[in-house]
Amino acid sequence: MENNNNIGSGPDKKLKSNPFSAPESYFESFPQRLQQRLQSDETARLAEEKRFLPGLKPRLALVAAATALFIIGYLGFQNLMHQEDPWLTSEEIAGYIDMHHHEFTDYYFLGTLDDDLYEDEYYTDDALYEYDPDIYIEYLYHEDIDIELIIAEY
Amino acid sequence: MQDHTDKELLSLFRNPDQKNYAFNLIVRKYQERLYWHIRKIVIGHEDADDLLQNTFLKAWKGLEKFMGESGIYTWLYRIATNESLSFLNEKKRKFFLPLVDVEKKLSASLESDDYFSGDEIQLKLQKAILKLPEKQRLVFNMRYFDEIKYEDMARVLDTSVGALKASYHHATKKIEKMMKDD
Repeated sequence: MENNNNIGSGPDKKLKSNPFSAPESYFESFPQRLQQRLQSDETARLAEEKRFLPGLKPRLALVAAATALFIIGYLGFQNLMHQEDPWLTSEEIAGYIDMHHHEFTDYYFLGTLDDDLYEDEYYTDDALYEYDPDIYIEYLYHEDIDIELIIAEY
Repeated sequence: MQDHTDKELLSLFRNPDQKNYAFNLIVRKYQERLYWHIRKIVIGHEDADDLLQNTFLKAWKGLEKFMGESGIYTWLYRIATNESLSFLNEKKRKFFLPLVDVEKKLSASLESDDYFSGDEIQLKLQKAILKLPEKQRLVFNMRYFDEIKYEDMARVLDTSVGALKASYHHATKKIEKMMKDD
């Protein structure tokens, strides 16, 4: 018996043999039982989906419609924003002056003309990019605009 | 039945028309070895049967994504081991059992098991194995009974070969002592 107990000294066929057994035909029938379980699991999964999907579909449609509306609205708004004239109109200049007339100086006035100046073919010089009031004065002179009259009016 | 290689089985499984047939071949090829592996961990036949089914269910769901970097058997062994250990842990949690009580419960079910056909000395050995810590028990079963190479075991248990060798050595010494003392 002592020899049997010494499991470390070489393979003992008796001790190494499997002491467990399984019911008769267990392994022959196992694949079939497994297939049945796979099928019943699949059926249960499909039933769950069927139960869940009808209620989910209208909600998903609602969410999709709301998302589509939001995207269309957002894109339309973006489009409108980009269609705006980047250049200042005379009404905008007047509006700006109206809003800020209490702090208005000729310096500000010249600033509002900035965009118009860039449009003018006559003033294409690089010097325009430097903020030089003399250039604006020259512009007003060239366009025959009386700056004092304008300031007095605003 | 023609014995297909893992590569052939995987390629068959990836063909939608052959999927069921290929899976059936995989089940037939590996069911016995996996069953005995699970059975030695959980002892009872009913539990082993449930866990074997769960192992193959998981394999069915995961085989599509299995890249074949290790053999199918190693992969299945890993699933079966994890399923079995989770089952034992769940049992411990559910019944608030300390480790020693789990061992006692397993030992008791070993004695009353209708499907235990071993003799007295084999029963003694199984009881001694049940007294080992979980990891050592796994390593001992895989090495002693299934004669799995340390390299394959390392892949299944995510442990280094050195650690597994040490674990097996400790387990063997403990079992020898327990068998002599009893």
